[in-house]
Amino acid sequence: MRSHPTVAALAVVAALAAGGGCKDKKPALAPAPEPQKALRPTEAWLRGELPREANEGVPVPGGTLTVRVQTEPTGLNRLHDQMIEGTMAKYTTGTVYETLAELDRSTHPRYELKPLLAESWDLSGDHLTHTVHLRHGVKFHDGEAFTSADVKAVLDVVMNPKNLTTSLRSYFLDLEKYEAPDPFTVVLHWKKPYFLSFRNFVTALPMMPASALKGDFNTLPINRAPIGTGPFKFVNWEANKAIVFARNDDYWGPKAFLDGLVVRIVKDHTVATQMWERGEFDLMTVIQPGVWRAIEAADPKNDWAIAGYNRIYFPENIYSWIGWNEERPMFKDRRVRTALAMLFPYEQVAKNIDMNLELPTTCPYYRESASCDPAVARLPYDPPAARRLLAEAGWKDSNGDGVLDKDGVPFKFVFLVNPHSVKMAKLVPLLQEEYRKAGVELDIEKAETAVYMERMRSHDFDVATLLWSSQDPQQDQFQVFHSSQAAGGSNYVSYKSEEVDRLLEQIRVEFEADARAQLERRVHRLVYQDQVYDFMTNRPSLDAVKKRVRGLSPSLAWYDLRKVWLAPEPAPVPAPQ
Amino acid sequence: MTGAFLAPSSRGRVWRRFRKRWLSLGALGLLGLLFAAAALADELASDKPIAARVGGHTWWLPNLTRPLELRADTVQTLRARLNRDQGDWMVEPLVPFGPYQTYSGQSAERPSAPPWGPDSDHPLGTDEVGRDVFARLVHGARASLTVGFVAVGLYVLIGLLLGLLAGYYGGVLDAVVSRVTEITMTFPTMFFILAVMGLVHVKTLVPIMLVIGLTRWTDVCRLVRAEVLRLKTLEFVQASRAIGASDLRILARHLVPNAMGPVLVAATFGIAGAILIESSLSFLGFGVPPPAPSWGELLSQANRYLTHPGAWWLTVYPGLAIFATVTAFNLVGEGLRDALDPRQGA
Amino acid sequence: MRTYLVRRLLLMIPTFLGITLVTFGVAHLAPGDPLQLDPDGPGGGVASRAAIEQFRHSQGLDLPLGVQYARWLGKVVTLDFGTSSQDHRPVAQKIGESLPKTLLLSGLALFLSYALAIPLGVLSAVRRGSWFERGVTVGLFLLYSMPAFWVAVMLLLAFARPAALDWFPLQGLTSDGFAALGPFAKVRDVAWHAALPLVCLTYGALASISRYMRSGMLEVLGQDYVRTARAKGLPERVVIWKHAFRNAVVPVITLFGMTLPHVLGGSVIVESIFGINGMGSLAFEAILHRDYPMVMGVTTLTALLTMASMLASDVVHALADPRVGAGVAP
Repeated sequence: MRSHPTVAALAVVAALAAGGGCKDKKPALAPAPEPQKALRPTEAWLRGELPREANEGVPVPGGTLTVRVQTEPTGLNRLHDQMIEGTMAKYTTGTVYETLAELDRSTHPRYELKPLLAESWDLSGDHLTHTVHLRHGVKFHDGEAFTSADVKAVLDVVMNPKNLTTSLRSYFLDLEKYEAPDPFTVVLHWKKPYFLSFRNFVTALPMMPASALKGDFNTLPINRAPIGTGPFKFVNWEANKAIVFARNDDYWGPKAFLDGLVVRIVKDHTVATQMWERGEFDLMTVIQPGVWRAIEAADPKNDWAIAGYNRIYFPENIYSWIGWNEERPMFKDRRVRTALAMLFPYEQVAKNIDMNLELPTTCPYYRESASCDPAVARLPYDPPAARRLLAEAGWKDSNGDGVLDKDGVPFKFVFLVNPHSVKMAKLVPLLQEEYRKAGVELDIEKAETAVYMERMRSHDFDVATLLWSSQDPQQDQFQVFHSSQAAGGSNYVSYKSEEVDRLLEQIRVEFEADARAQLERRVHRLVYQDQVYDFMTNRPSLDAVKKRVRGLSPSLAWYDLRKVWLAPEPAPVPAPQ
Repeated sequence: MTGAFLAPSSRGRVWRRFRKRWLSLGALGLLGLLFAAAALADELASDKPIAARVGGHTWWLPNLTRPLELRADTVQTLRARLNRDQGDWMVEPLVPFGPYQTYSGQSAERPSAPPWGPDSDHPLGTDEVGRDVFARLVHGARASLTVGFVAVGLYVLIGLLLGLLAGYYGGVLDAVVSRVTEITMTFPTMFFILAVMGLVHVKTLVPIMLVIGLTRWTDVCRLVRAEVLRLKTLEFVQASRAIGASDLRILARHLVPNAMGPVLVAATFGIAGAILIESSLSFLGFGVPPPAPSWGELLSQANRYLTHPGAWWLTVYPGLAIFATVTAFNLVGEGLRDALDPRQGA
Repeated sequence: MRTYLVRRLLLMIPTFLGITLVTFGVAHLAPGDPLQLDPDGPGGGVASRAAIEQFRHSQGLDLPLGVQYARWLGKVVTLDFGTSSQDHRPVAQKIGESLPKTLLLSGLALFLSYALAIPLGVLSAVRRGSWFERGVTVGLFLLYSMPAFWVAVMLLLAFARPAALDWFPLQGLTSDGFAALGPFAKVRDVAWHAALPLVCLTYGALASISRYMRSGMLEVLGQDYVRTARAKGLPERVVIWKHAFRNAVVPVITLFGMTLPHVLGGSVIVESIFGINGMGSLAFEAILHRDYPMVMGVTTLTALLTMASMLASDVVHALADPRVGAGVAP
């Protein structure tokens, strides 16, 4: 007994090194040798479409839905800058928190407004006064009634410059005043007309009880234990593990079917995949492209996925881009930016990194909207042309060191990289190689999210990459591309174009959707022509859901968990086609 | 290198005793191979040939000199241009891929995305960007060994100096050194190293080596101090002091050479430790800056390919590289210890 | 003994001050603001100057460094480490949540390594030159050289995967329905979760402790009194366990003061791979997010723990050995 534990442990590791290896030796994507045993996925499964039966049947209440999320939120107060954090917002908005109106998922891809906590609204002809009539009989999870005082309290918190609510406050910079003339009416007066001001107001502000918003904003109890009006209420949050919600049986509308919702926080993608394989998630989110493809092969080791889950592929309103900081002299020249874009081997990237799952884009707007001009073609991958352009812009290797230079300055820059990004880890070595061949030297600097954003906000970078995402197909690019937004706004690359400025200003006061789309198409063309960004791709959501989960359908506004229910028995395995 | 400090008469004896331990001897041989691999990394794996004559032009060692004319060329593109009828020839490296050469620089089109498993092109497979694992390993050996030797060299210097001063002069100096030693020992080294690496922008290996060097010197310091305290009272030291030898002379001639034995042993183990720390840091993403090759970095990639799709070669080979290197240093250290101090040895 | 203890305690004060100074220095030497804002979405990330100033002021970041240090130190003495800049929760509270997990794991790991290392060390000293000894020595050597993160990943691959042996959980220290379990089931649940992390935390310490045990035993076995005891014709068992072992084990036991910081350091990697919310993960996350109050809190507290354990091991040593040597070389 004395010596065995050591020796045994050693033997196991040795066996692993050898045995673990042999098992996986064949390439994962190759067709399996024993097709008669393995399940073959259907076409719909491969495309990531939900089969018809996933939305059929008579809903039955009961059961808990376990969802995987990738990041631990810093808090659940959806007003706080540090807690708005992209992913978790989906899980609290529409579940715990509700807004005055919601984006109607049935009107994809337009997403019209549908009253939620508001019953109706009156908008003045000059677009400067918005009167909202609130729903009666709505109660917060703590039992208090929801009234206009709460709406006012939320606005008070957002508008207080001492609070870290700058993200939301940016929607209300032109707000003149707001008032609550009676318990069920709220009136907003704006200084200027703006086509999105009402939409922002009713969809961006989650409603919380006024009483819970008193005190130091950074340490409010609701930051950890949110209180809202939604169909689910918060139960508890175990750090780095799970956040649990339960059905709100006092909900003002049709009650949810699910008894509860468990949001499992699993940061590591590999671990998440293994837990998913064990069936620990009803809804698996953020599947890595490589995994998505690896489980497609008809192979007995993929049966668990093919038999147990439906896959969901849904292009979201997200685009990724590489930004060239135009405050750096070398990136001021459009020809240089264009040349660098032509060194981007996008076909290789699509095949080897995105696994042909992401959709190439040139447009800052939602791809299915009328705001993108389909005639804009992507620049080709063309290194010789890129080299010619660089030479035209005056970049030549005059000292023979292999690196281009101009006025004695070598063409070297630093790419800011977020170390958590798997895609960047794969992309940057590739770009480095492509650039080096063209005589451009690329260095890497890693910066964690917080530092990364700080660097971008202060324009302290040469080249960086980011995603712009929105759940709303109606977007204003003023913050991103207007020259005034280079100071303090989201125009991190300091893009300045008088024509685009003028268009963006016109768009803000254009309330006619078609006319706006015309203007937006022009913005799209100009922005791509100027290569403000190297536009990369639209990212889809890659999710998978257990076959017994019903009533789930993807949308830009994520899934509507009010409608989800669980079939009593695990669904029978569909016969192989 | 530090062996030179040992008194000449004992050096032969130590080596004879060391030689008898076949395991340590074997480990020393393995280390020799490793050094050779690190030194010859560009001959073992490179995207440029060792020598070639293409199109009437002859290049010698373009893998080292990296001439501008061949900047866009790789062994693969040169192979395609090679015209043997015109008297062209090429001496290729053992593996014709460099540590930075991704799939975009390789001519072979493959149906699937990398990482690709071992095959005739890539004997140990590739990583997720199609870079050859063997090339990354042999070039990564340089980083590991550099970190190991420089960091340990640094802390041996610090420890030696402080230990000598504290042991020889005693008094306030000793008290101060003891406090500083205790502070450094009490500090959670891993947290400290991570904090420094996380908060400072890393461009080279220097911060890693510095931070390891500055936190791990305590063992050497305590060893040296104890040894000096012991030696100080011995006759030969007293005698040389009596004949008026300066402190410096006593320290350099008598104390350092005699204290060097245990220090050497500690240093050998220390190199193993430093290599482990470096690979852990790279594994956590705080190590060698990308895209520089490092064993820990390969293992952190491997973590993404444990299953679906699996890439066992990313786990096994770098793991074995670290494991074998660290074992070899430890075995050599063990052999040295026994050879220097026969009371303990087997 | 009493004077020794007093002296030892007094000496801890400058050590503690030194540690806090270094911690503070490291945290403030780095660039970058701990303020974190939403990276997603147009409209995100336009922090107003007033909000940033307010935040900096509330964190005391606008004061001179010396004043900041003094204020921080004053609070640290009362175990108030300020609030985390990630989520504005008190650092002490967050440490309080994660410390028990790390202590449990490290404590168990230390205990296990001793429980295995001592018999292994003694036996390999006693049976010196045997195949058993050689096997153990080589085995421990190999163990000692394996990077913990590699072992952790391999263990997960082998023992926590439906495609291999599906014996252990992948993540965390407890199951989802932990609170509802009975006391016995709770212990079982934790043990089941802790098994693989414990292996990773234990084997390194196990290897080094057993080596010390072995060499300590060898030294003692060569001493005169052991020879005398043998010459007197005492049975070998008595000679080894009663005479030799008792003397050899003391310095080994006092090693725990030196081993604890290694185990705690190892927890960073082990906890991050096994998804355990202990001090290691806490420190790692804090470093990633430049959460200075958190980094300073965790390092200071870990250092305090180490100091306490070193004190304890010194006291044990002093009790067992009246001469109190200069300490054991690790």
